[in-house]
Amino acid sequence: MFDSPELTDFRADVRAFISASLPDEIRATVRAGRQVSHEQFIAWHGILASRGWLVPHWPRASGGQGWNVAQRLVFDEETCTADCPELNAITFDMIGPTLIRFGTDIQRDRFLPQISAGTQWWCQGYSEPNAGSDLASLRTRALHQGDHYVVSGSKIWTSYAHYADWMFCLVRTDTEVKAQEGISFLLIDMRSPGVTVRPIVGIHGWTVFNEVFLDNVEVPLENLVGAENQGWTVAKSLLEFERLKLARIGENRRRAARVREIGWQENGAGYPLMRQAWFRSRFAELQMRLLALEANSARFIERAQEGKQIGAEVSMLKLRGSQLLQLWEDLTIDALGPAGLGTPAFSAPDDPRLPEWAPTASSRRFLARGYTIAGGSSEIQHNILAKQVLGL
Amino acid sequence: MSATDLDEQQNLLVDSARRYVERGYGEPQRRQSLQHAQGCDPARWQELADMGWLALPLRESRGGLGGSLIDVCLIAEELGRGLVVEPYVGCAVLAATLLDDAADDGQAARWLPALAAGEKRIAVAAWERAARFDPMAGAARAAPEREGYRIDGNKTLALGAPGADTFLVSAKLPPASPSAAPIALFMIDAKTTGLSLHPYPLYDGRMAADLRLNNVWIPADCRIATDRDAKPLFERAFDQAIVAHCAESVGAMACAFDITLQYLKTRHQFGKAIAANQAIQHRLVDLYVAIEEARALTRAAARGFDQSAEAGGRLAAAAKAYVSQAAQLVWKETVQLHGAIGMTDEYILGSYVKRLAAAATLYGDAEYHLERLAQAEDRLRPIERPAPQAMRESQS
Repeated sequence: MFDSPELTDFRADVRAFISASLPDEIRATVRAGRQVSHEQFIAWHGILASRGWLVPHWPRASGGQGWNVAQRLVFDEETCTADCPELNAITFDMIGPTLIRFGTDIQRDRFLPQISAGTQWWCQGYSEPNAGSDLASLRTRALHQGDHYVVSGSKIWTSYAHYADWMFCLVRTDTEVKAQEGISFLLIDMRSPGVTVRPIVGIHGWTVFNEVFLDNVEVPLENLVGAENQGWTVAKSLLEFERLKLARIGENRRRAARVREIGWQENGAGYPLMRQAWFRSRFAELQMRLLALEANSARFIERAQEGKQIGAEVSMLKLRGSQLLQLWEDLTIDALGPAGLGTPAFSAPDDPRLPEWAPTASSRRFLARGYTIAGGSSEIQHNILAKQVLGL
Repeated sequence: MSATDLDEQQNLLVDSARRYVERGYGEPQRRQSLQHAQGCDPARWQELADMGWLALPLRESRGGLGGSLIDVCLIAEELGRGLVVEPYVGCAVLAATLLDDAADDGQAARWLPALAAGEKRIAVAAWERAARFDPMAGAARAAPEREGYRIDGNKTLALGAPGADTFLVSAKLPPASPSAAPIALFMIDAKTTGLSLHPYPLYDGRMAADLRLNNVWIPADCRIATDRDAKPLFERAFDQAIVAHCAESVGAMACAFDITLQYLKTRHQFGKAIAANQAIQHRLVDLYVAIEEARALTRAAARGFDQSAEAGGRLAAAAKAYVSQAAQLVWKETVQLHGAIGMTDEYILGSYVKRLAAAATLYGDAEYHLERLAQAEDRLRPIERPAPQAMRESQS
């Protein structure tokens, strides 16, 4: 909606690439809302990597294309609306750029080539059973012993740990100082002795997150990122782009497109939902909110684009973007009505009028509740805005 | 120039408007304007003209300053922040730009310089009670008669009409076919025989009027835009005025919010500032975010007209729906967060409350504009896809 002409051309390139390169079988999986397998992810990574578009936002020296913020967001929107698998942000947006910025030469040479080729999967070991939103109270200990650390404790809500080759992890290396000052940032090989992954089935029926147990895991000292006890600084330095991305514009648009699709569907009732008052007004209201989110996010993108600082107020994008996703999911379920009660395993007799993603709609609605919890809950975003923007 | 941030000249515009409101339009001036029978103090209107803000929305070729809609919004936002009573959006934006768009050179030369200089004032009379917020759906009729037109009808809520020198009035011509009666636009002098004006204050203190047109005859040259269908002109002028009205409301919201924030930071209960309570902080954040989104969407809508009238119109509908909802949220919450003091007429918040409540309804409420947004969606209706059955077979 708010593109410049250069960006419009770029968007067309991305569209053409996706339409030529995304394998039908992967597109069908994403479109039907089934969980994308590890193999499918790796295959898609390979396709993107061969075009140079798996980590295009990394600097050229590290194997990227040096894309600017606007290009990245367009890419995300287009891949999302075209039913590409959602790339694992932990791997490509978090650990990659973190190593580029804070890693040693040895760490960069060791990990970046595999990440940028799409063959190595990472997970993020932050939350613990007693440290969720209050992350700094984490208790997993790392004891310095000779040329390695011995790590003990457990992590939870670790997304895709069951796919991961490596985990970057916050651990306590000093218990004597203030909570945030005794934390270090460690890279842990998931195949190390003492690492156990227990998948957790979500209310959505999918296995996304896991519990990870660390039982006297030996981690070489060279796997420390940044200085010892400086892990909080490393973790907090999430690039500004990540915060822009949390508006989840692409995901919101994809959901809008799906709801629109059912809205216009000939449904046997004689007139489509879009002609029914309850649906029409709710759809228009969410459309209005999406336009507001896009307009608001455009300001920040432009600021980032011009190399200006974006302040703490960017938290409102995460707040609103995640709320809106949930509202689309709610409307999807309400629009499907009786057909929204099925599951992929057992759904109503085949109805050609139903979209192929109908049986998985309830899973997605439950999954979407996580967006206002993960990555700094809505309540934490409120606290950030109150403190840092309103000065309360 | 950047697409969303303001350029240097625009920042100067904001500064000058803010300075004027802070220094030149204090409580005494505001009270004086509210007490003025026409809701528009001629001295203040002249000041707006002297600042160049009446000329700002008009084309340069017509003696205006050729400001963009964003520029106009920046002024409107500051006037809203200061609760300026004078009908800037109604007269200087809606009516004057409609005339600028629709008038031929002769009409323009006769009127626009005088409007820009503040010597004359013009208002639009389009809404009718039965047609609610749709300015195009009125029942007023214009019949050709004796080298002119006879006009009959009743108009309501003509903003800034009291004291206006002339009115732009919409009326339907005899239908060419039974289904389609073209809308025409007439310029009718306030002193015309058969025209009567019934002025009244809205509950926020600003003035509007109902117009009764009873067997009003005007010469043919009072019809504007004779060569064109007046409907698109009307739509565009209203949509742009709606965006300016949104900007004015955003200014009022922002100021009501600031007043509330300061109050809650300083007032202590139970031994601490009220704003120290998390329940209060989170509600303040929700207001802050609503106002930020309202402003962003308003400015996006203003820029939408650079693309096309249709894109601008769709965004204008979205912006007004959003602003209406946000204005309702802000006035209700700021009263509640203040407590009893927020209920008093004497305290300044009350004036913002009434302004915002009225602003939410004026130019169409949220429901009206959401329906417009839904109609835009109807036009975007996806082209019939291949039957799903066929698609599935081709996949398997």
